[in-house]
Amino acid sequence: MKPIAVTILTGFLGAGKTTLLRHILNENHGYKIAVIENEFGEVPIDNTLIGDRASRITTLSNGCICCSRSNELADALLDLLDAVDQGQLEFDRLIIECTGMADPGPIIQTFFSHAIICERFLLDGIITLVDAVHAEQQLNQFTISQAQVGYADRILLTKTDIAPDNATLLHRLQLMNARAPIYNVTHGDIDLSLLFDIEGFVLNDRLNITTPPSLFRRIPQPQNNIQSIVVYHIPPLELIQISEVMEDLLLKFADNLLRYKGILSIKDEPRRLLFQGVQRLYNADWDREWLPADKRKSTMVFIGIDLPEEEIRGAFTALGDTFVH
Amino acid sequence: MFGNLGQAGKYLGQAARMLVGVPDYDTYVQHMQDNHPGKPVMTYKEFFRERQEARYSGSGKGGMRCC
Repeated sequence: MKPIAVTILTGFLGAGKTTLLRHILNENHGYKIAVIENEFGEVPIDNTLIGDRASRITTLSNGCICCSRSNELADALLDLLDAVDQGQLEFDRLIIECTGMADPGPIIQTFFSHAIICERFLLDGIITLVDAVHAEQQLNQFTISQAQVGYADRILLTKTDIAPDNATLLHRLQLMNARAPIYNVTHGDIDLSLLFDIEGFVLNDRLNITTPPSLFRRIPQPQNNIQSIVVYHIPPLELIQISEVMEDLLLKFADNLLRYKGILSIKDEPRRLLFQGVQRLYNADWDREWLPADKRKSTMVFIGIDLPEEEIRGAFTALGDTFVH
Repeated sequence: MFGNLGQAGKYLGQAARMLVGVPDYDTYVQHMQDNHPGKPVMTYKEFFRERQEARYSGSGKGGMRCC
């Protein structure tokens, strides 16, 4: 049975999640989409804004899904599966719209920690919307809005029609998350192929590193709790050594790590080694052989909260020629 | 970290569950049988809820709570 692809929409209050969701549901894409939305407040209003194009809209209202005591999200997911199994409901994609203040971490982990949910759903990606008008202020004030950026597989910059000059913000977002491509979107209008089937949690060999664009003027660096550290290592690594380094980093800093990914060049091994993880959960496997056209080197990116940059840098420097940015 | 190469699933969800802090249900059942025979054993659903709650709700420590 093919697992149901799940997309999580996150982003701070007012970033445009509902507008995007409405656009997705109204597009002529042929998917049958179910929606779980989380309305923070007593009277859910968003499902009236979304319209009636979804296969089912489940509204969770008992607190945010990321911290609800009653584990509403897992229950809602299991209920959806029950309805499918009983032939009452048919859908092939699920979108979860988080509240603006939600931490994506526990929501993501729900998909990896329950046997049935793990088997029947496949978490495809985290889409984070960022409001170009208010983002700087929100990022300065709320670590949660930074975490939403850190977890992202795709970042959508909204309201760029009102705030077209956002080079500084782009620079900041790329410092926080060097993995996620950033796309402009106005009024929710975006090509859905950029949002679906991105395989954010499948071990694959795509590792795009975005380097912040150079700025015309020197600006003070904003204080980000969330940041990316990208490490390149040229000589092939000893498997046992890099394994120990990664294990040690995870033991010490797993609580700080949101996402991490690497494509490694291993000594005496013609194949590439891929690994990726979210918090404590990781996966690693051999990939195809390095090709003559490939620039053989190891590339790793860590995204996390208050990452101990010196310690990470030091651990890799001890393995030989390394540079970090 | 790279000790079980080639045995891992391609999707993170197929990797070891222990790593996200939810202990294995079978281990829990075995523990109850070995150490607390005769005491009620939680169902998988109860166990999952209890563990999730213990990890994410309540004190708000670890930045997991948002409200």
